[in-house]
Amino acid sequence: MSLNEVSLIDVVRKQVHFKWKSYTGIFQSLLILQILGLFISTLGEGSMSEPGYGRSISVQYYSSSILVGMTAMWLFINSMLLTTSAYREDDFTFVSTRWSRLLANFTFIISLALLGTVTSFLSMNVLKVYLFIKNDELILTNSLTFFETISSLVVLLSYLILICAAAYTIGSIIQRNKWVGFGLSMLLIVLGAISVDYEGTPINFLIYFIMFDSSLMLLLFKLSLANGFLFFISWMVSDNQEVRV
Amino acid sequence: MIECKKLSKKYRSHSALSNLNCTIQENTITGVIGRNGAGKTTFMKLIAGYLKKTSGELHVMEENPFTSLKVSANSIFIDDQMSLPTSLNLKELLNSFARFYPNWNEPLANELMTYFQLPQKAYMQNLSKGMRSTFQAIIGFAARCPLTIYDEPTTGMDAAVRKDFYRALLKDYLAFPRTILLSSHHLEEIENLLENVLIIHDQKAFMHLSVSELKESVVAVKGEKAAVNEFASMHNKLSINESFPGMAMAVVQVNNYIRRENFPHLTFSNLTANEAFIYLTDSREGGIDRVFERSELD
Amino acid sequence: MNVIAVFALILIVTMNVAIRIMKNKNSSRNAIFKLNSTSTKWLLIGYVAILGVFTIVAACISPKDPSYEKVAAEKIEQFVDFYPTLSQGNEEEVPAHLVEGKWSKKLVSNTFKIVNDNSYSLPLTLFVERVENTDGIMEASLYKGLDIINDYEVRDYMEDIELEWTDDKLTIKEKKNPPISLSFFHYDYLFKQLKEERANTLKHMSSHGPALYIKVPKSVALDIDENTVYVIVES
Repeated sequence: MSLNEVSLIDVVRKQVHFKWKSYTGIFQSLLILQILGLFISTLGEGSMSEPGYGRSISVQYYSSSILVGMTAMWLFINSMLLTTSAYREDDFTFVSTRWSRLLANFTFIISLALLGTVTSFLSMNVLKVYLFIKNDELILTNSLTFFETISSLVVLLSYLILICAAAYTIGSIIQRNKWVGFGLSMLLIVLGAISVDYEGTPINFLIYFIMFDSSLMLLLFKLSLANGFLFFISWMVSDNQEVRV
Repeated sequence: MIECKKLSKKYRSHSALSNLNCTIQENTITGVIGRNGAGKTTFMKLIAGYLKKTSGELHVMEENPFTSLKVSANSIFIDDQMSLPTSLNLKELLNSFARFYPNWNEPLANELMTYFQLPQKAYMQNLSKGMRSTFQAIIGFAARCPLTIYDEPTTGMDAAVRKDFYRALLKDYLAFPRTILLSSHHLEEIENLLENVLIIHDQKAFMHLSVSELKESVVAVKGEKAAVNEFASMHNKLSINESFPGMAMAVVQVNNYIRRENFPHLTFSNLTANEAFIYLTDSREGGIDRVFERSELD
Repeated sequence: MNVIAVFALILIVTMNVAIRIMKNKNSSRNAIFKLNSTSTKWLLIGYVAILGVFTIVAACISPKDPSYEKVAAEKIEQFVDFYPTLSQGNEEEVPAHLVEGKWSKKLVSNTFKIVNDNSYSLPLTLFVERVENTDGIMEASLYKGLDIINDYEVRDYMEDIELEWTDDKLTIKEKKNPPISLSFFHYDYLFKQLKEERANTLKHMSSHGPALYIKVPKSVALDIDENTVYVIVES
């Protein structure tokens, strides 16, 4: 009987569809972490109270950072879990090669990041409504115009994709060689800790290089470059990965 | 369809296959037989593209199975450790397979599910071992891949289901010919099903021949001890033991047809393929009786 | 406080569920969360729909309070000036819109008492000017104050002050209104990166209290409590 020719795009599309259907744990954990993030956000970031000229005034600060942080954590953990053997073997039961699996995983991760940005941005409104109801006065500092919303969402998406790509790369390295991966994570943690304390180190320069850029195009370009680099490393590492050993 | 030349797979602590040569034609049912740990599963996983060979050449559909998309799309590997996602029930799993494999036969899958009484809404974790094996066998049938590999598919199945499985395998193969590799410990059950047998022994392809050739290559000889010994010394003796005092039975590997009339004092009998396989691959002289004989002496 | 209690409750429930799921790894029938595909799909769709509803609600709620804007620098400037202006007696130079109230009382007796009814200091700055005899008429003007937190004005500030005039006594009271609580919600650094607003909004408060300017005729004896702090205007 004749052999079927399949195209790579077709296989990748089917694999992404399969992942959306079967990785239910990932989506449930999104819900749980965001709801948790909402609860923690209501605790506020800080408060001040002042006796004033007679009446006491208490001020509380709320921000969106916890929600974004929770979403980033969800993405980081799940991207790393995608490289583990349970998910890997599930993929290879169906039609898959290493290259198609890498492409499918990256497409899936990008769609997860999109879901993450949209849900985290929308869930800030839940926080706002809650605060409106609870407090008598709610002041929204730095509200965003429509264009700013879109552009900052794009920036958020790119950052999240970067986080996912980093997690996936680290996960692939760990799968390949446990000790190298462990050492690499330790190195990153130590470098991160150093960069918090000391200004002017090369690590800080790298971080500021990305974070202090205010031009949208340049920022997207830099982030795409970083993502491409991480993608390349993942490919190098997972190319010879055996399954079901 | 499958070509191996000096195929080797070595791990850090041991070697699983070394210098295996074989060629498997298209549209045949080949049984992959071997002792425990001989390397059958490793061989089949190499063909399926799960493992990477250490050295040698391996071509499946004229491509390297480890990296080829064509091989993955046209082959399916069924064993009892099939990794299936736990979040999908049986119906959804079948749908997932249907999406990936273009030759998928949906009516056949549904009919088989009803026949074997597998509930469509159940989850894999809740099934018994035998039902899981049955489900995986159904996947193998319905997928109709040009290369279907079964690695001990009947583990856990009861005898009736096993019989049904072999029958279904044969019928589907006749309706839709494809290359099937089947490995099983119950050679006696499948020897009527197989066309060829690939015996893997000592990490090499020990023998690759058709079932009838296998049966003809080994013969059991009974008679007086001296005559039996004489006969056995002329050919490759596989085993010999005394059944009665003065009488012996030997199992002998023969290369060509023996004229039985030349040996009037000896009784020849044919063996089943399974017995032939056991004697051919048994490296220990005297079998397990020797263990007990030695212990009695102590 | 109740938020923390809810949080702790959620934590306990989650841990319970996790332990129970781990115990029943093989029998997913007992698992509380059904991890199957269709329920997750509907859960996700429902969640996004709920978020959409909240977004619409939030968009509808916020325009109701449009007047919260940052206080312009010029407005603050006005308040910086008017204390020195008043202390020199130049009432005319203070802009008219800062006047909250004006009173003109005809005094009956020759003494006038100003009483501070608060436990603490006055809720306003008291300016007293002794003027020439004006037929026993005393005039008073109350000027607004400004309380700013992070460049936003605290409103309803003037409601605290209550002036009670009798024929010979002015009682300055402070209504015990419930404390004002303000909440600020801001998007964090990521959203502002492109706008180049790098520094976090500084958290600062400043306030300029209201002022009561009383012109008392010199013929009237003014009795003010010793503990009250007030400014005598020398014109």
